[in-house]
Amino acid sequence: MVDSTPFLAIPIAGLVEGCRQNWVKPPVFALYAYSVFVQAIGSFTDVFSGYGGWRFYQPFDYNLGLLLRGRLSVWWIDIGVGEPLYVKYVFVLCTIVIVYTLGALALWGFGFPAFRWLNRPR
Amino acid sequence: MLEVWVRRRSTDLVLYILSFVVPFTVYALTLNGYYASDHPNSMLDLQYSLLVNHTPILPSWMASNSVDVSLYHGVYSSAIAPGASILSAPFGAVGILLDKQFTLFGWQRLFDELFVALCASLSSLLVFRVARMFWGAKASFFASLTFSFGTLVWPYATVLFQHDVATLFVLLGAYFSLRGKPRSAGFTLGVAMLVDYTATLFFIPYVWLAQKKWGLRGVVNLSLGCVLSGWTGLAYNFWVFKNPLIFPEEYWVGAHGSLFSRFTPSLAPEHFALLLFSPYRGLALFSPILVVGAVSLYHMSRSPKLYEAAVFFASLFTVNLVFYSFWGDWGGG
Repeated sequence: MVDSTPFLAIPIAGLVEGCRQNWVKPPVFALYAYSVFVQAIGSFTDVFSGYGGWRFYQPFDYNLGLLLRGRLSVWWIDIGVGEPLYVKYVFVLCTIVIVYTLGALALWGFGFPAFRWLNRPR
Repeated sequence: MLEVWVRRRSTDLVLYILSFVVPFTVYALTLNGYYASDHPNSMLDLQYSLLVNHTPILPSWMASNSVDVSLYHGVYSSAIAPGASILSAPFGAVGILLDKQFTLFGWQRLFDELFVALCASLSSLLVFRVARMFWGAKASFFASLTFSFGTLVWPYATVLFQHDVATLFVLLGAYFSLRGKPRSAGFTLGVAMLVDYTATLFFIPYVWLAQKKWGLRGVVNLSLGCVLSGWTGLAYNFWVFKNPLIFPEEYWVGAHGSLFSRFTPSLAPEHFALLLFSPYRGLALFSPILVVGAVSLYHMSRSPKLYEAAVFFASLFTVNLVFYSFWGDWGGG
């Protein structure tokens, strides 16, 4: 299914740009934020999981537990340079905040007039 | 006037670069390396065997470390399509040189993962590029961010697996199709088929668009391009099995019965719903932002200018979903 996802992601640009109502962007951002969070905890811990039945929700039933126990699957973690535990959480937090910030900037541009012309098609 | 044009172009360029640099940096920092699961082992086995032993046949001691292995007349090979192992060989070779011997959790894996991250980041750039053909830069950048960080592309960019590599070539093919280059589209689709056999399904929407835009000539060019690269998959089969029409998946060691017996058409509607809405594998629960994409596709289809693109995107998504609905092991697909 992964190689099909771009073809649902690309049209999102159309709705974001075409919709004139102000109320649309906050729910779109909420869906974006939740999706990013789910994928982030999968990336920081483990993309694969064992089978737990159709009701098994991997992000919360498996990955979140690993993350809270500090069991990150990131190549540079614990490579023997003696980094403290909080480095893991700072890294996770910073990455998610950066991705959220960029998403918010792309959606609203924080109202900077300089960004408005970017809405026009080529 | 010129100043405004330059400013617009340069900001466009900044977002274009960011749509590659941001995902690549994040992916590179979240690679699994030593902590990776053993699922992709057979891809490492195949790559090592090709680079060092110059054969796709795996020694039995090597094959025993992996779950995705085929056994045919006493000969072991990787059950996964060979494309990702072959394309990432330059990266893997550097890792093998650093490892100095075969190891599953060494530099070879990390460098191969870097290759996958590179493919996923290039896909992100392509998402921006394709979206920019229809909409503004800011909205296109949001689509690119959504693709890079709000879908399964991110977790799969941190491990060695064929999905993100195939995605790059499928997306590149779609880009060429929309730009009016059916032969290039066919060629990249052929490469995608070497990486992931299920990419063959995308031939149907590609043919539809080629026929719609350029008629029979377009279809012939698309097919020609596809043959130019797609033959390598059959050549690989011949190398391994002495028969180009035998595919490794048919002789996967964990299989019970023939390849066709692993499809369950009667359960397809149930699997279809589970793949979309179940907690275990439901796309709407893992990437709910993609629901916005589905709504947007509907709006696109109502515009005469965007109708073709809407049908093309919708069918590229649907063919894969329908195929996996027919697959018995829906949760493993």
